[in-house]
Amino acid sequence: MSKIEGGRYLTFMLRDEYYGVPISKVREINQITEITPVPKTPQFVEGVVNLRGKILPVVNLRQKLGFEKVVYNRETCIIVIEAEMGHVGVVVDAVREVVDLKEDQIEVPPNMGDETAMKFLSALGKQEDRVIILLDVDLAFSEDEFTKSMGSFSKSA
Amino acid sequence: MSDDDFLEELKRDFLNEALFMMEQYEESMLALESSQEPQEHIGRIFRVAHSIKGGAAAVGFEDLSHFAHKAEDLLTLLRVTPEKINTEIITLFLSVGDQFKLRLTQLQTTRDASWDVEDLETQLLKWIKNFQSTEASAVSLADCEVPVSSEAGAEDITNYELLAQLEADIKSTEQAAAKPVVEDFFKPQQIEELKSQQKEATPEVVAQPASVLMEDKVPLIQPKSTTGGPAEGAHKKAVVVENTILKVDSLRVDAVLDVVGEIVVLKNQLLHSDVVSQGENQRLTFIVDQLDKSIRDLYEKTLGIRMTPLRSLFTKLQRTVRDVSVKLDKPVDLQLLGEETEVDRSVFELLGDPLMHMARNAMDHGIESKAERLQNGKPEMAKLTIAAKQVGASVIIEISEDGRGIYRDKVLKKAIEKGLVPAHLKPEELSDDQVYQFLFAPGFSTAEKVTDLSGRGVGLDVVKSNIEKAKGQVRIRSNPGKGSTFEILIPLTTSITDGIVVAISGQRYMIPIHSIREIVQFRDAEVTQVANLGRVLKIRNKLTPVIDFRQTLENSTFLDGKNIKLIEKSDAQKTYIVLELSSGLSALPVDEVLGQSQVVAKPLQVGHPVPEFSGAATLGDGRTILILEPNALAQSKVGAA
Repeated sequence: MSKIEGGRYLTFMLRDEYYGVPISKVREINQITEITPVPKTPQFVEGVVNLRGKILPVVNLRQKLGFEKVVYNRETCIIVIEAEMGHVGVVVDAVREVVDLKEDQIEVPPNMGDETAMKFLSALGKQEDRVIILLDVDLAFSEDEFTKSMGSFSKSA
Repeated sequence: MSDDDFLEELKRDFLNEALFMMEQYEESMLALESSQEPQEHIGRIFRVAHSIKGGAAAVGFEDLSHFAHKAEDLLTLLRVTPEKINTEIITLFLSVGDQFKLRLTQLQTTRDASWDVEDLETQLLKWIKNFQSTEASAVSLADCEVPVSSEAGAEDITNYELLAQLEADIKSTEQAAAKPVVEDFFKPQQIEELKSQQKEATPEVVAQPASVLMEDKVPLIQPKSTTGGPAEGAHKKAVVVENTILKVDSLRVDAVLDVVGEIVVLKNQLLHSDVVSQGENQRLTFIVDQLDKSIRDLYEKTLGIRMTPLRSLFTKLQRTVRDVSVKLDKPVDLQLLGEETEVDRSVFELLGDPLMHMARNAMDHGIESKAERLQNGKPEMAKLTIAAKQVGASVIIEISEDGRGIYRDKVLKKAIEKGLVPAHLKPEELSDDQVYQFLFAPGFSTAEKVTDLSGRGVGLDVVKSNIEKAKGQVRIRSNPGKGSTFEILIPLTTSITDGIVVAISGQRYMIPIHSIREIVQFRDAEVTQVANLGRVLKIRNKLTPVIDFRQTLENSTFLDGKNIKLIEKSDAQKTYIVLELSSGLSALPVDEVLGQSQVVAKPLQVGHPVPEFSGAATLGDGRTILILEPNALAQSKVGAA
């Protein structure tokens, strides 16, 4: 849990919750575009997109955290994150704002039992009126995570 | 092209390449100082010295080659005992590197400046002696000690031979037609005379005797310029060298390609936007039209930057083989085939060293001496063939000779001696190919003596590491007593892919054009199910297996919830792409053929490899498309069955 430090975080929405990632890990934010699905990839991998000549994998964060998938709308965005394996596009419901969190506004999350979602939470950020769930980007988008949940070609397998 | 121009071109290429390599040399040298694992850096430095030695000798820069040989001698010792490396040695090697650079830069502008490395050479020799006396047990002396005096003598002979050859070359050119026969090249006034007769082609002719004379400690002849210091030499370079070769990191070219690709996409969006396509503003329409043309041109030219025919590499090989042939007195009939084959620039650069090493290796170790050939009932004139061809998604380059071949037992014995055979493997159970692969192990060399061509066991090591960098393979076939073939197989997938865009199960995919034999149409009724092995098509009376990729896709989970519409199956004719695979022909059913396109293939990065796709690319309309890898596709069919 070395990631708990004050700083600027980009906040975005999933369901009705606020999430945050360190701004230093964010490369850019794009509107949702056409995503090319790729066989034999984990379910949460939406496919690949072209970002100015580079091919990036796109992860649906809802599915990654074990939530149900929703139809994209005008607010759906792809946040391009700098992970260890390279740039990864992350589909989120909507992007909110950049917030400044002081060290005393950040807290280790209490154990709440939900394994899938909890695994990638590094901390909770507290603001007057809301709680921001801070994601451990390196852990969530590590190469290991992709390989571990590698998809198969056949439904029965 | 006259032989003089040709030699000049080779020299230029060598100088450019060597200067480029010196960057690596210095980098590794500096890294060595702080590194915990010196072995890797020494290996790199050693390879640079080795390449300079070989390359310089091939184009006739004997002093450079000689000096590099000395540096290599010390490096050989250090490779075995890296713990001996100290700051003093690193400093010495940095000065050695400076001298290399100085000389290389000098030679780019003038071939008759002096170069004094006597002091450094003495220092190198001092360390070599020092190590040899203390470390005699650790190093196999036979492998690394080079008798200095006889070596120098040998080089003089070579030089003389080279000169004799040059002389012949010169005679054959028109300017030289009227020139009196030059008996002795070492006489200054005759060099002057030559110089005045030859126009641009002269410098290297003068340079040859100059370098020899320098070794002999005879005062130098400098027909025009006074001795240029390093600064002066560098200054001159900027003025004199025209038509320079631009050496650009391929990553930069890729970056430009990325941006250009994006411009193409944006241009297409502009072209199809309402404002432009309605054509109400004539001026705007005109500008966009012109822009369209220019951008297409730009795109094509950028794509072209990366592709290079093998021709220039082949000419270098030709020269090397010729020189070695003269030097070793092994007459050879060299055949070069397929020099028009184009490879990606990055592949081209990685191929240079390995091919050179392999050609030298073939001449030095593969082909026997004249006497030995006659004794074995072979013609005196050996045969060496270097052939390149594109096969499917790869380029295959074969270097074959009719020499002595590789004896499995000899290789195996040496491999066991060197401890290269893993304990759990039984030597007698290894396949020939496995045994031959030991030849590529670092430090392996079955040659008994060290020459300045090959025989230190680095050559093949370099070959393998370079080929692997290009994601290729090297294979050896050999017939003891009859000859050997070294085969390099390098994929083209890193470069531009020309392909056909098809729709399968509502998705678009690209099939590389070189794996497509033909496109045919069949009704479902004409496809035969063969037990549970799969389906076959009868194309011109030949049974062709069908790759049921569509079925595989539709059975898979990847499209679930991704709003993809599948095309209704009907009894109408279906289109099949007949693919040329390593296992033969196969037919891939597709929904529709959408067109042809040329794209820059990018690695498909989704956290783990998906062998069915060689990469992804962006089409002109900005959409991303996956490129199918037909061979893996056929495999995946087998896996699913």
